[in-house]
Amino acid sequence: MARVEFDNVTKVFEDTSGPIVAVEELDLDIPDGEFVVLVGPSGCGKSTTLRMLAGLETITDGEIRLDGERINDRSPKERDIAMVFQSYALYPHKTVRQNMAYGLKLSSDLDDEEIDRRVEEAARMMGIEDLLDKKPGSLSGGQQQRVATGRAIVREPAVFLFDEPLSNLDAKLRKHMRTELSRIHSELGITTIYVTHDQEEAMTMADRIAILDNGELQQVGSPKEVYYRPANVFVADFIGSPSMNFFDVDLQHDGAGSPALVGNGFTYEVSDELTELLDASETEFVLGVRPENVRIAEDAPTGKSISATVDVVEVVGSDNFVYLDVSGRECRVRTSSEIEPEEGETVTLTFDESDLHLFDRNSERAAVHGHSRADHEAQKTIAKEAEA
Amino acid sequence: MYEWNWYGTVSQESAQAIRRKYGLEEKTILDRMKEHWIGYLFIIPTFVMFTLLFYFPIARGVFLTFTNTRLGGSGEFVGLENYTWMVTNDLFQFAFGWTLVFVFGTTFLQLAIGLLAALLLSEVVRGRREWLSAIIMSPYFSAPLAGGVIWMWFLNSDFGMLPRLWVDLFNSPAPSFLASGVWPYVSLIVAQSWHDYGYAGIIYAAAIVGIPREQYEAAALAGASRLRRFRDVTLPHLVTPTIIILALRTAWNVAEFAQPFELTGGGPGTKTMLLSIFTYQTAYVNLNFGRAYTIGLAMVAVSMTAAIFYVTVIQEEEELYV
Repeated sequence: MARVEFDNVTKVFEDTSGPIVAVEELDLDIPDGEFVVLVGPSGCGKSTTLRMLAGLETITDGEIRLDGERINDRSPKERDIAMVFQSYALYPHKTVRQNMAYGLKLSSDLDDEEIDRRVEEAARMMGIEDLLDKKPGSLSGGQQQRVATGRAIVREPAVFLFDEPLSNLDAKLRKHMRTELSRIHSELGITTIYVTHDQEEAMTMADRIAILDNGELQQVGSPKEVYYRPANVFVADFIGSPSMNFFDVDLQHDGAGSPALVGNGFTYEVSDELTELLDASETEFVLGVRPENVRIAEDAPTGKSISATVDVVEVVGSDNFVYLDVSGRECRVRTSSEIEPEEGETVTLTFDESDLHLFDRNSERAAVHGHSRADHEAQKTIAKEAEA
Repeated sequence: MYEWNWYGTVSQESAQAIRRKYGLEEKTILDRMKEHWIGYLFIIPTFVMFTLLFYFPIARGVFLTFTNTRLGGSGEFVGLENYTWMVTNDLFQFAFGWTLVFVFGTTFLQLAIGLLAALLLSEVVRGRREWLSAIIMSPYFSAPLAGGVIWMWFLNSDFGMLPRLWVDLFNSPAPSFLASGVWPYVSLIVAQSWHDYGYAGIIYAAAIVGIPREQYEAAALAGASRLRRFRDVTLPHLVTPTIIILALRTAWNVAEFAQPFELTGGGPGTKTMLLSIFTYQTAYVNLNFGRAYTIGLAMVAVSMTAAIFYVTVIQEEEELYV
């Protein structure tokens, strides 16, 4: 078990077409026993980060520390790290038992009996006792995945690495294995770093999520934090499914009335408390609101209603996904299954102020989150009390 | 419910039941041919050519071994006389033994050098690798006769490069690389290995490229050293290519004629007589086709025995592999 620290880690690949920055000045501190998920679109540098930690890629700049010790120059086998690959990387000529015992045979001085005992224990944990004498070629994808995971846990390493381990499984099995992996993590308590491009996987499994884009760390936080308080437009867009709706809006104060966010084809009144939290000189924002927070409601208050035309209604069973058109911009709404508007119908949309997110239009950084108002207030009082 | 047998097909009664249910009729071979006539049309040219140029000569050749056919006339049936001649012939017995030494010597050398070349190539970066492999593999693409000429220039006692070098280095007269002592045998095996190791190299290189990188990475994380990774990841993936290379190379090395013929022609005298050269001499110098074909069949027997041996032995080996 170990704490993992990335300190200003950079990876530059030298290609024939010139240098490519895969990971840029990454700082990440992972305490012992935590389950961290690195998530981002393909090419964001998440796998490279993992491979640098495993010792499969060199580190261009910065430092990676394992339990406070710099491991930049250690070979993979000296790091006490076990990794599960997307392709599983099982040795096709060895039986499941030999596959699982391989690491222990090479890197530990346990005798054969002890190795056998640990392999069988890990196999029991993964539910693959019956497969121990088979070869990987005769196993299904799900079984191979279990063997690969079993091969990692049998070593009881300091850190577990998972590189998109569930991507080759079908949807149902993937969900099942998610729970299984979470269970194993809580049983063993070994520091785990898990790479995926699937935000749902990240949300359901992680203690903390680190979102990467273009080699840069965008935000680190608990699933709730990144969901309710995304640091920028990228995170807001990436986390949550269907993804957040965005509208370009201008903040307008017309004297007597309450301030309003004016977008293309709609005006949304906001409270003074919200605008107080904003930088007074800024007026150009991106308004973000999640599909699950938008309601189709004819009785919406006039200042908070948006008119939209229904494009497509997708029935998924538990919910309906309604795709609407708001003056040329697509708006996605997740409604309960009873609400099923006709295509082409004009409806009124509304959402609560506490559910909106405002982002600076130039920097795309978060300016204010509806949900954060409460804790902002709390923080302000604390600050005032501290001053007094 | 229909009964399924081991081969994944339904049993006779069930087949009848299915046909009755859907009003189908059992197809005769003629029906199938009518249905797929265009496919048959496409394979007819190949079939005809193969029959004329391949199957017929083989059948005819086997028949020849039971006759005393010489150039010109058609021979008479002589039973097993050619075979008794062959097995009691001193030169055949010698050539048979030397051919075995030559074939297994060259085959294993080709395998070893080819594997080494493929391993080295896999370490070279892309871009440079293609050029380097073209250069390393180039002997294989040269005509065997040309290879013979090249080695002749190397080894010839009168004008060869190697004898000169020998004199300069050791300050003593060079042995005759193509005539004296064991040297002609060594020379033939080395020259033949040089010519064809590229074949093994190409197949090994393709197999090595196909090994998933993750398996090496997983092994490295598990604590395997470089040598260990070669043994546990690379080698198991090379078992199947090895069977293919061994079987094909053995057959071709048995039949190899041009380069040894160019270098020693089986001589001096009959000192380096290979079965292939012996066949040639029997057929085109002594003009005895019946006997020549009998020797040819002995060569086929060697190749086939070797291939069967490889496949069975290596399959067992694969089962044992840990």
